[in-house]
Amino acid sequence: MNRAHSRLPNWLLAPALIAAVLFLLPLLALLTEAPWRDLLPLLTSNETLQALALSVRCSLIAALLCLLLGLPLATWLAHGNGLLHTSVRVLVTLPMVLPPIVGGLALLKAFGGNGLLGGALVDWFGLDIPFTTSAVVLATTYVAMPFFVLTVEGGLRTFDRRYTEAAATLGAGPWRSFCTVTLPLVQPTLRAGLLLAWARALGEFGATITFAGSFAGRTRTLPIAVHHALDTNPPAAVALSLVLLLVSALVLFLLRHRWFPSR
Amino acid sequence: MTLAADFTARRGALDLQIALAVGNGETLALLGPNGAGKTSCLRVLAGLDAIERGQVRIDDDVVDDGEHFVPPEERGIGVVFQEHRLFPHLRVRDNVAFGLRSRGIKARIARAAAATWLDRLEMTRFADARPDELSGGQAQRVALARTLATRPRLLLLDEPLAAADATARQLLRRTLQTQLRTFPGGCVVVAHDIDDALALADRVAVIENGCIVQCGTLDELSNKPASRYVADLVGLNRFRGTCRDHVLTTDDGARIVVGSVHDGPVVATLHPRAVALFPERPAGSPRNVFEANVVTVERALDCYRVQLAGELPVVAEVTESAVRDLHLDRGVSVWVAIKATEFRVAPM
Repeated sequence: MNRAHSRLPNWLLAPALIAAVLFLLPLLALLTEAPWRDLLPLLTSNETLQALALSVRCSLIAALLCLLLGLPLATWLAHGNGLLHTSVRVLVTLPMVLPPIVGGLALLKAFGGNGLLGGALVDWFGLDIPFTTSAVVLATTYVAMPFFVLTVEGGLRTFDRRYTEAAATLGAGPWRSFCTVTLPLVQPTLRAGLLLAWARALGEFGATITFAGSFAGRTRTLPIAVHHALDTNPPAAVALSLVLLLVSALVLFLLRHRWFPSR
Repeated sequence: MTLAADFTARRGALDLQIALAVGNGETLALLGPNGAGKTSCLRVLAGLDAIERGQVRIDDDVVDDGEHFVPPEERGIGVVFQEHRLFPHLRVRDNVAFGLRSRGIKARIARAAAATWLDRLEMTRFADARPDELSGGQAQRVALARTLATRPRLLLLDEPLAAADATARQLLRRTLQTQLRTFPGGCVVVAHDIDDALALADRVAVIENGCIVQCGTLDELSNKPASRYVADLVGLNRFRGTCRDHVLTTDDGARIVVGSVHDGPVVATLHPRAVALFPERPAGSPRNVFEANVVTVERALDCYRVQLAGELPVVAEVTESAVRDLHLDRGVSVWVAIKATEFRVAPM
């Protein structure tokens, strides 16, 4: 390190250390308190496997929905700066800062039996979404999609338009140009967006428990299972938390180039 | 006519007002100072920017008339950009096949056609390379192959030689010449300098401030350069002033004896070859004789260009032996002689 650039005020070190410990301590606690001996039976119990399967299924479907619906939305957002675009961008960003429980409640008011759209869904299609697996997917998509859309929109905005111009002069229409030039070139951003959205979907708790409840096998995903186990089987809660911690570490590892670029 | 364009367009602070036409098999070079609107003009022709008023026609199709706009992919044009713009995620072969694939041609056939074009441009051995593995000149060859493979009606080249280094430039220029000779459609090339323009094009259009100030062959431009820039471009000396009784008084106050019969405000041009240099005051008939100091001596294609400061600032073209014999170098004093009949004078 260049010593000329490392002159920091000393007083800064103490609060910085406290902050670092604040992050380290809970992690250590979780690891030391983990029921390492009973880990295998805890993690292979029926309930756990059920929650794990449900979580994986729902988060993957949510990620897929983010791709199918979020990619067109991100593309549209990247091509404008008007009032309409800004308004939609605010709308999309909202779930990132909104307390998830409020999001869940809002979803309930929209899709519930007496809700804005829910009543019609029940009357016309017999679709009763709240407290079903579909509700889990809907809630996780709602909170995860902003991560995907904003990441991909950023990637598309920095995308070099000169390549789509070249494609057009070579006879490629907008659709072909998007598929054969834009998508391959923004692929790294696309992957990062998907991974972020999936991680967020996997950890989703607040909106899901409000909108889908906690029914074993149907809506009890891993995070909700942790919450449930806290009352019924505390060691299992820690064991399940380790699984989620492991997944988070994996996501960090996969996104390392994006977040921790080497100097 | 392959291309007939007469339009106005806005691009940033620049107002373009362009009228030009290019026939089948003809190449027109666009020349002009930086920011004059050469590239902007090319973008309009390509359909990357729209016009405000007027019309752009390719063959018999109106591709833009200020209301109806045909996008680039439907114009049947081909563009080689200044910075090659090869797709970084595709190998050279697939870059060249891209245009044909976009036209719905099967991958196998498109790749075969790509191989043919790579061969024509002597790039076959780079077929499997990635664009970032190529030098500037090589990449531009691939870009040219990629564009020609689509068999455009109108070829648009934006300073195609700019990205190549000096040696590659010579080769690339020759390749371009060969390709343009056999190219059946029309071609508009934005040229970096007059040498490139003359090597590639039949006619030159000079753009200044968004307008075409002059369009014609080199002879036409040299005979009556429409502006200071055109005169400099073709290497001519150009003087503005007022003429009376065969004496031209320049705007800077120098007095020149000319053969002209025009009286009033005029522009006079003088070919640098007509400027003779002597170590001492020459005897004889030249009407204009004065002493001057050498400012610069530059090597041109087949001679030396000597810039002189004196009563009349002029550029002279001399041989290498003259440079040696007269010890021409910065600050050296010489005598300049110009015959009155060497000035071409045109009323303004």
